[in-house]
Amino acid sequence: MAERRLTPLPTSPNDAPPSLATLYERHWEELIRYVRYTFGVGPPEPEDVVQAAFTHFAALVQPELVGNPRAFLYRAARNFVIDQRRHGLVRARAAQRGFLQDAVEATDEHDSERVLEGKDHLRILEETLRGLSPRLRDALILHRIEELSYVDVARRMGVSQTTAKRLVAEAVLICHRAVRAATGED
Amino acid sequence: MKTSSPHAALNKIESKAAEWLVRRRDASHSSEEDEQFYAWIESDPRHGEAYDALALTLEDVGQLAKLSELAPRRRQRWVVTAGAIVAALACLGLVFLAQSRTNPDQTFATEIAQTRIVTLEDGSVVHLGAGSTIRTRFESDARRVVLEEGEAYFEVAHDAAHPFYVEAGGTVVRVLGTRFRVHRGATGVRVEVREGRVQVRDTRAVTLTSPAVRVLTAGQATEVQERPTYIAFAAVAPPVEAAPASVGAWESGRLAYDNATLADVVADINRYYRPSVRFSDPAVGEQRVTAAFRVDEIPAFIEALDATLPVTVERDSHGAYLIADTPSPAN
Repeated sequence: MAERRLTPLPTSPNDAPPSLATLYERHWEELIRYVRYTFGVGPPEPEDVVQAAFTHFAALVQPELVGNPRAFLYRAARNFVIDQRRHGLVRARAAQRGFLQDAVEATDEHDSERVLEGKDHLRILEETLRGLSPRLRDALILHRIEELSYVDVARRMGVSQTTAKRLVAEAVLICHRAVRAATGED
Repeated sequence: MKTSSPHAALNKIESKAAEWLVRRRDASHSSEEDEQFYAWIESDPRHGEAYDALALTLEDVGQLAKLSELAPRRRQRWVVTAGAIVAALACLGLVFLAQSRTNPDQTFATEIAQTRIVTLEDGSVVHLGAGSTIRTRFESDARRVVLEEGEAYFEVAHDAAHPFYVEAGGTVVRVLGTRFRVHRGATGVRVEVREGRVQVRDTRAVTLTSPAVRVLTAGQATEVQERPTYIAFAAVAPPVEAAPASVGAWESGRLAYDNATLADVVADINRYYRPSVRFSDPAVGEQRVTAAFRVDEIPAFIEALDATLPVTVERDSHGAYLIADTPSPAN
């Protein structure tokens, strides 16, 4: 009996591409957060930007070809804001209508993108975090896990705010490079 | 020259992106700095890619709090802060609460015609309607309740650090602290707000024209239709003014409907009336009714349906009803 499917069948539930509902559930809050701190409260409002990103994804002809839907959504959100800024609202609306066409190109671009399984990815991140110098590690944990502002990170560590920011930047850069190295892009 | 290698260029972009990421996360930045940021991100596609990649990494670091023993740092801080302002005894309670955040799911259910008041571990109170089931899961960063079936009225304890979510099918309601009712019926999910603000989101719908997210304030209600498809034109209906949501029909023993589908009415009835009520054909349930009756009047209501709708009602020896279309008159 010949297998006629074009896309590989999932071999286990974990291999199945996440559904749109799952992506929504997992990433809505973080995307709002990303858009809010990166571009401010708008206009366009973060909710609208994130909605546009999901719309973009939903309009893909073969969303299962997107290797890393989360990165796709981040990029779609960022592009939406930049596009609105660059061309004004009218152009952006036209772009929204043209999503179907854009989407095909976007799929091709992302075809080769690979992601580590979630747990491996977080394991590497955690190992890297543990291996950081105490100053870098404390700055990153205070800022991101304990959610302190730079003012409070600086106060807690007894350093200047500028130093606190520099330490966080350096720590996140090291973590990012470790994860990137592990995905075999180099 | 060494610096011209692609690697060095990428490293330089990443360093700059990390610097921007940290600066953007600072609450205070000037419009001048905004302009510089946009200029940087628009000048080279690799800039935005690097920025996103670092933002994703920083987001993931936040995820570690849930997965590793790094998490206790946060819990300790929370308890100590709270301990400073409450009595020692209450503080012990909070320690227990903090530890129980990772408790496994708990399920609470009511039988047909039974109601129940449940106090959750965060102090929130849930009034469960008849024939209803909820499942709760309290996580380190969120309180989650799944309404498996039926209806529930929530009085949510305020806790800004742990948003409270109610999921019903594909609908997610998000609140910080408020009172509201969620009803999961045959054709959709209805949300009514008595106090505060709630966000209602349809996780399945991504629409081009209509938001999948609505914010409701006190005295407002909305409905999310059950649908099989992702793309739809009205994911979450625009909010409508509603009578202040009460604890629910079960308190007064009354069921009231304004232009509801018969299917929704019968779905509710089946949570109160043990011999079931069924349709001969689902299409029969699409007819609209406006009605109010007490739960002990359910048989009378069903038996009177044929007076107002083109239906016939049959009752079997066990008290179960079958509602069918009136056979069309022979021509």
